[in-house]
Amino acid sequence: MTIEERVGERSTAHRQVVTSEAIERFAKAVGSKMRAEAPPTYMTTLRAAEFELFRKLGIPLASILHAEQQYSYEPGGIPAGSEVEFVSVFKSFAQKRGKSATLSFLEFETDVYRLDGGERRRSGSSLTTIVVRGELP
Amino acid sequence: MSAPMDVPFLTVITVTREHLREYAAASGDQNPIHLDDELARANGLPGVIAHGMLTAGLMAERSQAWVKEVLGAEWEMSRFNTRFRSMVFPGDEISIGGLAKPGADEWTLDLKARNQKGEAVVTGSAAFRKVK
Repeated sequence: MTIEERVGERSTAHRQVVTSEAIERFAKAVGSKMRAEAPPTYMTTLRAAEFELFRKLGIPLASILHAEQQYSYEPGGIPAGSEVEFVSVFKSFAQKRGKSATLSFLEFETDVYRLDGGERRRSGSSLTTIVVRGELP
Repeated sequence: MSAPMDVPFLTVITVTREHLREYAAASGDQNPIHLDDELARANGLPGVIAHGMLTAGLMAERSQAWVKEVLGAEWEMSRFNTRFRSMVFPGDEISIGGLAKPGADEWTLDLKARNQKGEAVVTGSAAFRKVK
């Protein structure tokens, strides 16, 4: 099966508690004063589902460059102490011939949900575009 | 409707290896191209490069700080898009600014992160809606 034929493949569902310590550490790293809720780009810490797909597709982490990132946010954000669930899907694949190597562009979409009091509420989504230089497995 | 407004460029960071280690720990992105010169070089890079999302995170914060200061605290981010255009290396000084444009019920900030040579390393946009 070629990598192109694997478009549509989904990760398993990942769950994580967004602790106030994790928010504080991330906020400090990006110069944010937010503490009660996660800063907007905190969603990047929820990439375990994407990384699972990179592994399944056989793409070595060190060969990956981040090309684009898009986020959308539902009202309410991710308050400290929330449990979130996220799942990624391999959304698209394209190749371009660069000057010295073939460049592969892969998109991964991740939906993030908050699990509060038995409710599962959409919190936001992420679209990551990565570029891989050279041959893919 | 208000007129577009400048978001002044402010220097937000001079990147150090310590920043990259801190960001790797905080974000969970332990890709060795950000932490290990030898591995970065083995992957065709001149040495370690900063996480694109570190600059993007600083851009999101620059936009939030401007919105809070100029428009007020009742606006929240609804979308944030970034494109990583050039690599950022330890020692690079990054400044972020751009233009804020009003819409019917949202503001959009078109932003640029520049290095000390004036090159755009990350471009992006942040949309803000009024909190209901």
